[in-house]
Amino acid sequence: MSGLLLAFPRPAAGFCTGLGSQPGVTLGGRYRTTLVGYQAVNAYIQGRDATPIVNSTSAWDMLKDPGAPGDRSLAQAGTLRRVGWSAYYPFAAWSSSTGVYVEDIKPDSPNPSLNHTYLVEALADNSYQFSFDGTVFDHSLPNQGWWPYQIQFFGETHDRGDHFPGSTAAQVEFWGLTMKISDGWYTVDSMTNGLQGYTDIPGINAVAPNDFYIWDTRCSDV
Amino acid sequence: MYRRRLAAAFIVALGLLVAIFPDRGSAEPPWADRVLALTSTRIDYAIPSQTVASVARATAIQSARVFVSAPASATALSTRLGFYSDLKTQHVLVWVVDLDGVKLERLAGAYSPGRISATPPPLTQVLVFVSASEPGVVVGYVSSNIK
Repeated sequence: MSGLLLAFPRPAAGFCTGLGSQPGVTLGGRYRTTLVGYQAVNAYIQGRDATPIVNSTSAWDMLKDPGAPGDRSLAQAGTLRRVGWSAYYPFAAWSSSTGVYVEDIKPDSPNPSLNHTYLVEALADNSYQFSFDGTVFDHSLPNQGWWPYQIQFFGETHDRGDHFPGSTAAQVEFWGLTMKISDGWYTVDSMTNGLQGYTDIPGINAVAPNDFYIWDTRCSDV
Repeated sequence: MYRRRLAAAFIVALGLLVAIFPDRGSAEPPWADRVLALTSTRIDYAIPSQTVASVARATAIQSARVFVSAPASATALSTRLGFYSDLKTQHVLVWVVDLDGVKLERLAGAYSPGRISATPPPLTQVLVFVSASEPGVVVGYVSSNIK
């Protein structure tokens, strides 16, 4: 078991400066919707240690019901760093159709510059299960009240002063993207770009249907 | 007549007993227990008497406060020693710090094209797991919007 030593944000080489603090969630990534429903989504996420952080920076994949509000129909797993943390944590977050939201930060300190997999599964009892690097680390209660018809792969920040995942010189890659439909695993074959919030911040470049990069267009740190 | 008086006395006595000893079984468990029950994390509070925490309670509370950027007004409702376990990690001695009055912005954003989504209210209570063996090490936290 590894924990996290508390520390203040440390400037990395090529520190990205002058971002200016302004609250607001920014999302940048890709997504795919189907009518038959998803049973699981899995992604390799390989990135870098973004600094500075005013609020939080994260990268994740997710099962979602696009027909319901976000706070009542999501199950996501990924890597997170909040302000004041010196490293990233794997996390799981989910919500039920009744509006119960749960956020669970788990022991481990994944090095974001290395490959890690984040798997989210929808199980038959309508619970959601989360795995990090092939090991199950969390599980929701059953009967969450919604079923997934969308998969999402995004970077997320909560302030303009947050370094969105990736830079022009060191982008964050989502690759090896797979999805489970009707009890079979498939390579993600097509997706659509999604930008929300401060849309000038994220860059998105798809190099294959199941492989794309995101980055902070304001930063060139390596 | 005697039977009626006896029945009345019995009912009065029963009412008094209910008033004096309310049904504790129906009392709601503490928030910390209810939020843990939503996840796979479990805390075993049965600590052997010889167990020693090398991290002081006050130090653990301070670590928890720093970890979630708690405002000065946030209060530690409880701080208990226990063994942390989840589906991946087993039996780690931690301080379980129940912090109330925090303002933790939810992580879970979701791309919602065409929807105008207001930022959900922040999470105000969090259960932070601080290592009781290694100073300054936070194992993780769990939070929810349940009250």
